[in-house]
Amino acid sequence: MNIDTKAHSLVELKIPRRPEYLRVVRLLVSGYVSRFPAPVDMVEDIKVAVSEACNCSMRDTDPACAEGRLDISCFVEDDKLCFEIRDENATSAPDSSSDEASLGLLLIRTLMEDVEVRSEQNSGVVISMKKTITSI
Amino acid sequence: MDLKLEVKREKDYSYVTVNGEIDLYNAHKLKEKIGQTMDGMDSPNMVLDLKDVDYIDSTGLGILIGIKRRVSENKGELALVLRSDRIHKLFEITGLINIFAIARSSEDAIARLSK
Repeated sequence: MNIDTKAHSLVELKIPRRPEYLRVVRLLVSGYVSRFPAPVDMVEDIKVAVSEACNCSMRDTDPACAEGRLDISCFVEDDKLCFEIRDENATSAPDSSSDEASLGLLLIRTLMEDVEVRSEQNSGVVISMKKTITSI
Repeated sequence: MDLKLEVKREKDYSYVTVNGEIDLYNAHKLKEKIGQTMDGMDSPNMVLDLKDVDYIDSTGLGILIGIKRRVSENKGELALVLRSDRIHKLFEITGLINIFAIARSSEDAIARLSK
């Protein structure tokens, strides 16, 4: 019998698109990854990367987007932990012109695997990333 | 944990101790406080003690770069105290390890200012 691991493992969080909720995101990620026999370093890597993905959206200073929401999804596919951060209000890929933004994107791409930034018609911008589950 | 800062002014340097998490939400506090500290400094040298910082993101790292620039403009030296391997790893990934004078202890950081 095939089990849809994504559906069986999916956890979602919707937050206001505001920096004061970043700690909530980190708590979610820590808790989610800790369900698996993952090394502490891996938990920390993922926490940093997902929080940086949220930063990409929250740094956007467009007032029209300031009150939007971010959707964070965590699920398992095969032997990988997968994370998607969706900003429904965003219309373009994150700006990487500042020191902070370029450092953030560098951290995400270094700490995670299969990092993608994609614009979806009428659904905003999604940053997705994966990490192979390694045992302690 | 909320961000807390403590500033001690010595004859040859200012010693700033930071506690807590530095992220997009509170990094501006670090920037403001350090800016105020630098405005009133007798010496342009600074030790930034981050050994009790649990988390730092790209915003915090960017602010450290700005502090480094400003200290250099004032002909001063900046040394960081870092003990967390996790935070050290972020400095390695971003290449900041090559820009900052990084020490494991307060004593080493102060010693690096005088070199």
